[in-house]
Amino acid sequence: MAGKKKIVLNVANVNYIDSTGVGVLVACFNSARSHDAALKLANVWSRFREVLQMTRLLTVFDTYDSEAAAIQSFAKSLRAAG
Amino acid sequence: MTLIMVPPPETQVEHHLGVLARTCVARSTLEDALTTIVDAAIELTHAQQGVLLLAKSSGKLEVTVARDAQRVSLPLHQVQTSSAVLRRVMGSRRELIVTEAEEDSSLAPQARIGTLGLHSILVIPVDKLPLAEALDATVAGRQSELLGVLYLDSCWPFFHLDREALRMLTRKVAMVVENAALFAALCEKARLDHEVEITRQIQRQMQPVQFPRVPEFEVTGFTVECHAVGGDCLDVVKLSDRCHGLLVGDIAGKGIPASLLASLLQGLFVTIGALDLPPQEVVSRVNRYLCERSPEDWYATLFYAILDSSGRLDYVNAGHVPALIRRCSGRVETLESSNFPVGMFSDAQYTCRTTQIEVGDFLLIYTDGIPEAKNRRSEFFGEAGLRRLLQEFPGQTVDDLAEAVRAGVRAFTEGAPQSDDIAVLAVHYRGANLSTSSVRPARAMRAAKARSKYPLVGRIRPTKLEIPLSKRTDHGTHNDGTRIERHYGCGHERRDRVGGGKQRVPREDQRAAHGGEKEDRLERGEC
Repeated sequence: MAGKKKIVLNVANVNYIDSTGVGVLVACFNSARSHDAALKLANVWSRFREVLQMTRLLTVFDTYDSEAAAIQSFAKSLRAAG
Repeated sequence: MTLIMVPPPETQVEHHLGVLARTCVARSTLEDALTTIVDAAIELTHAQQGVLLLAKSSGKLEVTVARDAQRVSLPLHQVQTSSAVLRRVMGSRRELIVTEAEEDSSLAPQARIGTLGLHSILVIPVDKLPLAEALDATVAGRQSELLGVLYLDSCWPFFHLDREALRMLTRKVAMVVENAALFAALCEKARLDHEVEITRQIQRQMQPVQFPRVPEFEVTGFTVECHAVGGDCLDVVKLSDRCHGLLVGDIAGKGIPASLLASLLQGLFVTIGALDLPPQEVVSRVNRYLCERSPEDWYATLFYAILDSSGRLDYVNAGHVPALIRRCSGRVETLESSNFPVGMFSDAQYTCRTTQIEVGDFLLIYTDGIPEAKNRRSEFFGEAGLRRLLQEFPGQTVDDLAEAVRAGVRAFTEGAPQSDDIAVLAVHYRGANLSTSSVRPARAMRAAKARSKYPLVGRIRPTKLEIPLSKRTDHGTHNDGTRIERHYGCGHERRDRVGGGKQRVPREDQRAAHGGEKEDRLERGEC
């Protein structure tokens, strides 16, 4: 989804997320989607990644290995749309 | 003689302060104490009228006490004060004396002091006590909070004011007002604590006090709440003579909000689980219900399984930490998640997996409070720690396992504060009873698979689980330092307060039973 607003959440320094944090993240994702915005995650590692894996949320969120890759993905999707 | 009739100013001040001290100790109401202070201020300044205005939560000043020099209370709604003078004092936060000669021309006619027939006004701000401000580090460096103003009217100029005595009076006002606010907050906290305690009792009563004891398996469980109430739940529901539903759920978050949803989740499973539906359909229905009824950022992870007396385990892991099977050989297997949590996406599809529990195997279903238990070095107990504990588990019974988990976590955390709720459900499979177990024929499995999309609602007849469970305990420490030991099966709870005595609280409301037995018994379905 290209979306009008493009948000990249760089979580490189987040090595732990609890259930409340996941709830907020999903609420943000749903809110972004309902406002025609796109939310992507960059640098999802360690416990953060494990939690997203366990909750199958890795299949919902677009995740990238770096902030640059996440930003670049917007440009690619724009080109694809164009 | 004259010296006796007119005491020196110091003595007068001391007299007022003595009266105030006695008043603040003896009088019970806020109004009485404030009235005494206003009377003292009138006497000290020889004013004709004294008014105390206190700041409300909106920031506006409201007349609270109005007295004249004869110590008579004046009707509050008839008291006139100069709003312009009040604004100046609230802005400058300094005491202000206004006489007719320097009367502010900006005053509205009705607010002019001349309309009161008076000559001077003395207004003193009442600031929050410095000590109370210092305790609140978030406001350090800011101007102290204004609690109100003392407003005195006089028909002659204020001469020879004892400013130190007046400052003491305003500090006394601040002390009285803050004490009253603290007392009100204390009463409110006591009320809320009482409600939390009731909530805790209700939640405790909803947890199973008796687990089914059948020839094929033993089951036990415990919960340890991080706060007074928790967001974890567990239950074992008898679905038929051969099948039991096992649930462990973990609501996102902690405390009262999570406990509400935990109770709802448990109730949903007990109700929907009894409909003889495949596990994934039970979870799907629960998910749809929660998506409709719960806040957007609320969800729950859960492990729901149906254990057949033959040892067949059909399970749905919805975003939950993996359940573990400890085989007789000591090998540990994981039952991983393959689904979204419930309450997150209303259109989520849930898949069921199946495994076989062999004679002598242990099944351990738990919440993330176990692997995420932290020691004082902020290290996690981890799933690896739990697997190691299971591999090395030397015990023979399910009670041994529950105790080993509890003791293992306790030893690891070294007394560090509990960071999350904990729920543990442990099952020891002892083998099928030939009279009740059977290998499901392929035809029945196909039929069950076909009906997995269509609920089969049998007539349900309540039944009692008549066999009591042996006593077991669980432990927890509340924020107030109370240590909880919960004894499943005997209906007692022991609360030990650090440094205090012990008391036994009889549990009156033993849950008689739960679960149901279907008249139209249908063969357990394949997923």
